[in-house]
Amino acid sequence: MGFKRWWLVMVIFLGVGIVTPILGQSDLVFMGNDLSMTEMNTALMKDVFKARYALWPNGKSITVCLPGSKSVHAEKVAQEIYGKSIQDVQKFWLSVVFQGKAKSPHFFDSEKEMSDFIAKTPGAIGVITKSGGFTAPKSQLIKINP
Amino acid sequence: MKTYCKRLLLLFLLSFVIGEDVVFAQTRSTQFSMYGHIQNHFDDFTNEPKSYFSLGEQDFFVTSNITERISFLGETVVRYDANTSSKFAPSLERAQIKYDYRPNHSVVVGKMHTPVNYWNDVYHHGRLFFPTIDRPHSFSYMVPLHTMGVRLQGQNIGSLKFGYDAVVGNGIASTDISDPNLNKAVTLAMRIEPTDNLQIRFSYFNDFLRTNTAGAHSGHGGALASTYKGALNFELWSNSIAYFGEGWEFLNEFSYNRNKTQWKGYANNFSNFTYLGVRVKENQTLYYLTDVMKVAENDLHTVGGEILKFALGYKYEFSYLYKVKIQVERLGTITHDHAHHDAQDRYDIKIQFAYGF
Repeated sequence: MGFKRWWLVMVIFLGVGIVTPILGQSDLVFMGNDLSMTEMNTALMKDVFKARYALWPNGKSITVCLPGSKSVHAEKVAQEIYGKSIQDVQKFWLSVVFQGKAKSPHFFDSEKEMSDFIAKTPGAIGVITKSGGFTAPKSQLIKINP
Repeated sequence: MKTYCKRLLLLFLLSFVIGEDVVFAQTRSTQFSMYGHIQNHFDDFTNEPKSYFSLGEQDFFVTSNITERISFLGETVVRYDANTSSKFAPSLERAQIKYDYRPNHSVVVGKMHTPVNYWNDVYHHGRLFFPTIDRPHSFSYMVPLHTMGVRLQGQNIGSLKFGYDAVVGNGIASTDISDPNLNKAVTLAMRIEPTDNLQIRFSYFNDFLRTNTAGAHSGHGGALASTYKGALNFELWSNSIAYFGEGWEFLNEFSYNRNKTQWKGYANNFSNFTYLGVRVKENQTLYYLTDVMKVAENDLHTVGGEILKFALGYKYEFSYLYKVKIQVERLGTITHDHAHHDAQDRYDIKIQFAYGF
């Protein structure tokens, strides 16, 4: 019995380990306000955060909100969205703004500050991580499909 | 009663002003930044050594979101100018208004950097962004740095992330306030981004100059030296390949310039700049560059000749806002034949402190 149960536990453990990344389960939580959509796919989300669009389909200007470099979310966000280090993400935005391709993103050290800013800024989209423990308002949640 | 009415009116006007400010505060934001560099040179250390410090361009950068879709970008550089008493003078490098009419399409009006290649469109005057200490040599001879005009641009189209730029504006002979030519300079550029870190660009630039003069902002210092002042048709084809990844970096800027005059026919000039960097640590890069340029002997637009530069460099980033580059370079000519017997190779060492905030 011991062996069978051990084997089952191993299969479940390995299965979860393999399937979770495939399904694109992420620790990221997205918040937005008046984006003309409540869900979007991963490719569009990355394009938005990489300054490849200036406007949402409803004509609202895109305002990107990111965790500040000292925030607990910063490293995870930099890796998952940009595939870069925090410093490289800062360099990326400095360069993009200097080129005139996009307006500056807003950086926040606390989730509450980011959420409050998004609430009063139509077209704003922000990202934090679940592990921070902050509960984002339901009206702001944006679902990201793989 | 009269005083009461006055107070009421004042209160009304005040509330209007404050109210308007609150409305605009949600969309309008203005940001000021500054970029600059300081250099230390140790020139020609094998022949006639010279050592000196040098204050580089000080770049004042401003952006403002005027409305939801309209934004302004300005870049004013203060730099060395031998013609002024203080030896420094301001220069308006960019002043442009952008209107986003679709999510990834926009129109820009004003003075801009001509999007003929990756370097000119991405780095502008910010030494902090330069991968090396100096720009390619061709920027002083054949790359039209600025255009004052109108630009249609788009990006992120299709799976290859196609982008385009179409610019019509004052040409090489123009100043910021006028152009002696009736016809305008035209730039057509396209690019693709097959992966996140890779960008490939092609462009074509054409300008017919009634008189071969170079405006202050064309960047063609070589053209200022040319004694030919007749008509000239200037064409430039460019190709850029830029890859900036986690481990290594690569940039190749190729330019082919063809100038036609009735007197000398077609003159074919070319240049190629290659940069290869390896990030030995996240904030440290070792790099190598080759910069080669050849201006044909029958060219009348510029006085260039040929240049061949090799350099080895090291870049250390204290933060994303402050970096130091050290570069050892050899400057010479492509050929060492009888015609170039006077040209001696020279070796320089440069240290650049570049910052932004």
